[in-house]
Amino acid sequence: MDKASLLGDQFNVVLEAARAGADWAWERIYDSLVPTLLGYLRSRGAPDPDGICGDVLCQLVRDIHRFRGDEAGFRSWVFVMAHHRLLDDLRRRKRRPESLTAPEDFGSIVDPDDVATGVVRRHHEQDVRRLIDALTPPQRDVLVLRIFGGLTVEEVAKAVERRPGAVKALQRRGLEALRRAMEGQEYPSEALGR
Amino acid sequence: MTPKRLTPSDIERILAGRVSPDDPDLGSLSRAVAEVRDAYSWTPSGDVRAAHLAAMKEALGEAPGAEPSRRRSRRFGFAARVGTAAAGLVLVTGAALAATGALPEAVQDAVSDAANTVGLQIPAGDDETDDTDAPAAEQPSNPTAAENKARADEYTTAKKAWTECVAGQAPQNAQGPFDPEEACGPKPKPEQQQQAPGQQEEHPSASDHPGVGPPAEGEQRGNSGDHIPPDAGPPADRGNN
Repeated sequence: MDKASLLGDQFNVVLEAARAGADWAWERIYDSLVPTLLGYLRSRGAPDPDGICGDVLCQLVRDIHRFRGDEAGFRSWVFVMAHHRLLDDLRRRKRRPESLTAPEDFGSIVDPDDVATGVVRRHHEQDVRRLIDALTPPQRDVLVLRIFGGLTVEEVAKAVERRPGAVKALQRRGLEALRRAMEGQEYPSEALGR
Repeated sequence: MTPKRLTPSDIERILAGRVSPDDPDLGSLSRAVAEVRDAYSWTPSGDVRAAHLAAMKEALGEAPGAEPSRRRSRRFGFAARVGTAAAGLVLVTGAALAATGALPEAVQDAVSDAANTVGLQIPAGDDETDDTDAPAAEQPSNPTAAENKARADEYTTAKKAWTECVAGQAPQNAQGPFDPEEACGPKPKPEQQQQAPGQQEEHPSASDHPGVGPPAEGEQRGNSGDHIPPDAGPPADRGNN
């Protein structure tokens, strides 16, 4: 987890100000949370990551008064919300299929004037996607929650409704599958000359 | 060469980003995890950020304790929230008219009957609006819809003033703990807003304090004085189906 994106010592003050409705506090919370939150949703193949993210944020605003805990607990709470929202969205789309925007939607990713960056990112994402595709769905559920949300084993277990022991087994097997997948392909960043 | 079997400690270090990319046994996995995180964790574009923040501000404006809007739109639930806010405005406006007996008689009767079932006293279509039949001692104690709205407006105004005070006080409290209620008075609660006009002046306004805004980077802040129960944890949450 990128420490620079966390609120650290300022968390309690920012949280209290956010509860009181201060716009600046919500912007701070947004900037510390949303890149990894969107990362989680995109890595899970959410058809509309911006939309789900927006719904999670609005739910966060409405329920902020119920939260008690530290910053790690706060992030965990938000990512569990996102996990459940994503599952609901996927189930709903399965029941009522509709035309979906491709996951690699430039419009929400980069400025229209910076198409080159978008192309590079898209290729990068596709290469990394091959790594994630090497995981089984349960392994992916567990690993992306840990990678993006920084959730503990116990928190992930609660979110995915499995025992902690099962979560530990899934993350170990998932990492081993990642390692095998890497042995079978050139490393993504090296392939792009980064 | 058989790869090193991953121990629980290895796994925690890899996922936390605490393994060097040059580590001979675990470096490749550490790089892979970092790549996954970097590949998807983009800062949203300015338009998306602005739209998200606007939606959050709209959600902030919903009454405390209100039921969350059901999402009917794929895009941030905007349509559902705007529709709910508009419906709420119609209900409040209609209730205000009903409270003053200003609706057509048949409609006024229907509204009055419905309101009576939940304990609200709203005049029926043929009621005298000055209610001369009821002695002063037997005046209904339940607030009318108009009083409810006035109380809600008072609460919103008081909360906004308190928020601005907290934001203004935070930069000045660089040392030690910062208790927002000690600095700006008790946090407004919806049931407390029965103040006479002018009493809100007791809360310092943002204009009294310079530098309203977020704490500066690197500036030390104390913890808020709010008591956080030690046994509390994040509530379990399920999204709406």
